[in-house]
Amino acid sequence: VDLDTWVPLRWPCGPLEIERGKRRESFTAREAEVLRAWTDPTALELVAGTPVSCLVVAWADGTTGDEEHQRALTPLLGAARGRGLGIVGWVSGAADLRRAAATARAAGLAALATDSADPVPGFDVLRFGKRGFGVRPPSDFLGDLDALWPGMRASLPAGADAVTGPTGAPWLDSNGWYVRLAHSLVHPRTLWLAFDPPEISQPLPAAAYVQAIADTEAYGARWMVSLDPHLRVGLLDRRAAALATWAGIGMSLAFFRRHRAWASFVPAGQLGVVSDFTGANEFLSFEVLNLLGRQGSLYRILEKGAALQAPFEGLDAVVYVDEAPPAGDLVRKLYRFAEGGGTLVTPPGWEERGMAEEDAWLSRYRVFRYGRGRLAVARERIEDPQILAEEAQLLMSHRHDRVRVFNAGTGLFHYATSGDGRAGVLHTFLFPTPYRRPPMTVWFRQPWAQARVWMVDSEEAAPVGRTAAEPGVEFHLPPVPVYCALEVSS
Amino acid sequence: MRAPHGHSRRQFLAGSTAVLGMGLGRLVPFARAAAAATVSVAKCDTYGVELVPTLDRMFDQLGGLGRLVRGRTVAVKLNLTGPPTIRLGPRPAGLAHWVHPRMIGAVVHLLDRAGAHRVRLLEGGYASAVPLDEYMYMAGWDAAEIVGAGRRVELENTNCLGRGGDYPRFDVPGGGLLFPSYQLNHSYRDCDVFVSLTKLKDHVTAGVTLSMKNCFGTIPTTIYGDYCPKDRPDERPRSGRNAVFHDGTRQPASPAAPEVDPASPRHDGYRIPRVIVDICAARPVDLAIVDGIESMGGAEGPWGGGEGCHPGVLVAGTNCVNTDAVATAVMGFDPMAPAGAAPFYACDNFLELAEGAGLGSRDLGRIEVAGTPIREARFDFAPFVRSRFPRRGPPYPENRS
Repeated sequence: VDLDTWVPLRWPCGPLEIERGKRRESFTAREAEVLRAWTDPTALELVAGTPVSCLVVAWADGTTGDEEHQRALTPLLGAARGRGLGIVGWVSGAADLRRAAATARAAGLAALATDSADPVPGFDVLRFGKRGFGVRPPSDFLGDLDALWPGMRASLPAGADAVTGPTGAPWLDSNGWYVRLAHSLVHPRTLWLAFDPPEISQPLPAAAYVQAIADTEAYGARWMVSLDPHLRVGLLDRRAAALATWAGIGMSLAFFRRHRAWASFVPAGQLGVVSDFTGANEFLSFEVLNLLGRQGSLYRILEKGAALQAPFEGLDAVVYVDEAPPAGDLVRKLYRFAEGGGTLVTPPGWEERGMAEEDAWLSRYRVFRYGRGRLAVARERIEDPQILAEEAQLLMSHRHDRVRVFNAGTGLFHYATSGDGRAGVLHTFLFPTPYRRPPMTVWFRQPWAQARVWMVDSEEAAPVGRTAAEPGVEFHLPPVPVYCALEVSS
Repeated sequence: MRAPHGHSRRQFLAGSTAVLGMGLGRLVPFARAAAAATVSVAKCDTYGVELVPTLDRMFDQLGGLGRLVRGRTVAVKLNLTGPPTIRLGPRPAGLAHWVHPRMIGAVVHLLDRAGAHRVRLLEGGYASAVPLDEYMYMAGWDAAEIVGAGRRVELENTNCLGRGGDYPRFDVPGGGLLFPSYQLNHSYRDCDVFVSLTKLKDHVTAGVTLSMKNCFGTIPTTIYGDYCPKDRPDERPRSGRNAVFHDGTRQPASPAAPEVDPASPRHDGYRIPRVIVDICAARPVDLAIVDGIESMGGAEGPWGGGEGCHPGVLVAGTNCVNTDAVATAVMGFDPMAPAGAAPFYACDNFLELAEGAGLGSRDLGRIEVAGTPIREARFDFAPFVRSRFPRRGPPYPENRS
C-alpha cells in the first residue's frame, strides 16, 4: 500500500450507508438514491481524470447488514480495481476486525481503516484515533478523527453570521497546528484527517472545499475528501454548480500533488513552545499552539523530552507551558537561552534572575533583564490559552517579526522554508468576506530576491512586484480569492 | 502644572454652560466671540530633509514651541486609525491614513529641542490593548526609532488603563452635547500640554478627519466598546465604538456616565460631530498639527474606499477649531458649509458645533493664516468624495431620524 501517494475520497454507498443515513433527521430520499447510484460501477466515471486514487468505503459496522453490504459493493470494487483505484474499507462500531480483514482480503481491498486498536496480523490497517499523544507508538500512518472542518463555522445559530473569538475577530478552525504537532511528536510518514462537511441546508461553496484541502495539505497532511450530501445529489443530477465545485476539488488536489516539494519545507519558528503535550498539560499546550497559529505567530514545537537535544538557534523566545518544571538540565538550558539574548516565558515559581524591568506593562508577569535577554515569570498560573499565546508573542515582541501580511482580512498563514534556506513558501488561507478583496502585501525580514504567487486554478505562477522595505522586502500580490502560495527564493 | 491654554478656555467654556444643548441657531452670538488664533500653513513635498525645518518655521509662526512646552509633559495624540495590518492597496499606512512615522519623529524631535520635559505618544489602537510600540511594529514601523527621536519619549495605548490605575473623568464644560463626561486613559490627565497630531483626509461620517476628529480616538474601547460588560470596563477590548457612539444602541460601561439625552437622534451624522466637540471641550487641544504631505481621499481609511493622494501640505495651530477650519479650506471645502453640504454630506458640521460651543472660530475671515496662503496650498479633495460615494437617498439632515 503506497499511502504516501494515495489521494483518498470517501465514497459513501451501499446498504450500510443508507441505514446510517436513515438515522439522520435530515436524510432525504434523493440522498438515498445517490447512495444506491454510487454503488453502481458507472458512478466511478466521476473520479476519472482526477487525482483521486483511493476510495474509502464503509465495510463493516458489526450489524447484520455487513454481509449484504459487502456483496452489494462487489461490482463496484471490481470496477474500481480495474481503474487502478485503491480501496480502503472503513470498519466501525462493534465489527470484528479480523473477520472484516478476511472479507476485505477476499474482496481485494487494499487496507482497512478503523479506530479500533485490535490487532490484525497480515493485513494493512490504517489506525485512526482521537487526538492526544499519551501513547506514541512509532507509526508510518496516523489518522485523526478529531479534525475540524477548517474556516468559519458554517452551522451557526439563526441570526448569527460568524462566531467571534476572544479577539473579536471571527473564529477560525484549522487543523494545521495539530498536523504540525503530530509530525513533531510521532513523525508519521502519512497523516490523514477525517472530517466531514458541516451539515447545512445548502451545498457548501466551492471555496470551502479549496480551504479544506489547502488547510490540510499545506501543513503536510491529507484530507480524506468528503462531499456534502447536497453536492453528491448535484453531481448525480449533473448540475453545473456541483460539477464546478467538483472540478475545483480536483484542481486543488492536483495543485498540491504538483507542489509536493513544499511538504519537505520546515515551518519557520521564532517562538519555541515547550511542553510534553500530554495528560494534564494537553489542553493548555494544544490550545496555545492553535491560538499562536491563529494570531500568525511563528512557533516551533519543542517536546519537553527532546528539548534538551533540540537546537534553539533561530528562536527569539521560548515559552514553557507546563505547570511542573522540567529536569535540571533543561532548566539550565532555558536560562542560558535567556542569558544569551532570548526571551524566556515561564509559569510562576521559576527563579527570578537579573534586573527587574520597571516599565513592565504586562501585569501578569514579572519581567527581568537577564544577561543579554529577558526573563518573564508569571505571577500566577495562566490557564487561559488565549492570554498565554497573546502575551508570549508580545513578550517576544513584534519587533522581531519575520513576516507580516497586510490586507488579508480574516486569514491564516503558514510560512516554511527549504532545508538549505534558499527558498520558502507562505501559504495564505483567506476566508469569506462580503467585500471586495484588496490587494495584499507581504513583508519578509529575509530579503528574498524574487517571488511568484500560485493559485489552485492556474498551472502557471504569476510574478509579483517587489519593493525594498528595510529591513526586508515587500511583495505586492493581486487580490487572492481563498488560498494562494507565495513562493520566495534567494 | 498649569496647562498653557487650558485654564482660560475652561473658564470660557464654563461661562457658556447656558447655551449648550440648544439649537445651533441660538449659538450664533457665541460663535462670533469664539477664539481666532494664527494658523500656519506650509507646502512640504516629502517627509525628507525639508520636514523638520518646515515644521520648525511653522511653530515659530505660532509663537514658538518653547513657550508652550518647555519643562512640561507633552501628550501627543497620534492618528493611527484602524488595525495595523490594513493598507490602502500597497500604500503603507503612513502614506495614506496614518500620520507618517517621520512626521511623528520630526515633531518629537522639535518638542524635545524646545525643552519638553517628557513626550508621551498616545493612541488607542483599534480594538486592542497591546502596547503602542507593538502596535507600531505590527504595522512595520520601527517604534524604537520614534522613541529615539527625543530624550524622554514614552508610548501608551490609551484604549485601556495602560500604565494608569484609573480612568480619570473629563467633564464637558456646560454639560456636553452628547455625553456629560468622558473617562479616558490617565495620560490625558497626566500632561501639561496636549497635541493632536493628525492626518489631512476625508471622513465618511464626520466629513473631514483633522485635529478634532482625531481626538475621538482618545476614548477607550474598554469602556465605550461594543462588547463591554455594562458594569465594568473590559481590559481586553474587542471592537470599535460603534454601538455607543455611531449607533447609540447601548450606553458605555460603568462607571462612565450615560448620554445626556437618550431620546436624541441615533444617526451617526448627528452623534459623531457632537462627540468630537464634547471631547475637544473636555480635553482641550493645545497644539494641532495636520499631516497632509501624503494622504488619502474619499474616506478616513482603506475600509471606506478612497485613493491615495499627495497634497504636500502641513497645517498647524494652537486652536483646534481654527486649525481645522483652515485645513478644511486647504482641502477645497468651505468650513462654513451647512450640514448636508460638502464635506459634511452626511452629518452636522462639527466646526459649526465647536464654534457654537465657544471652542474657536471657523470663520476664515477672522483667522490669520501665516506662511503659505490657503489658495496656494489648496488641494481639492472633493473629487475623491464624489467618485467614491455617490449620494443616494434623502440628504442629511432630513434622513437623520
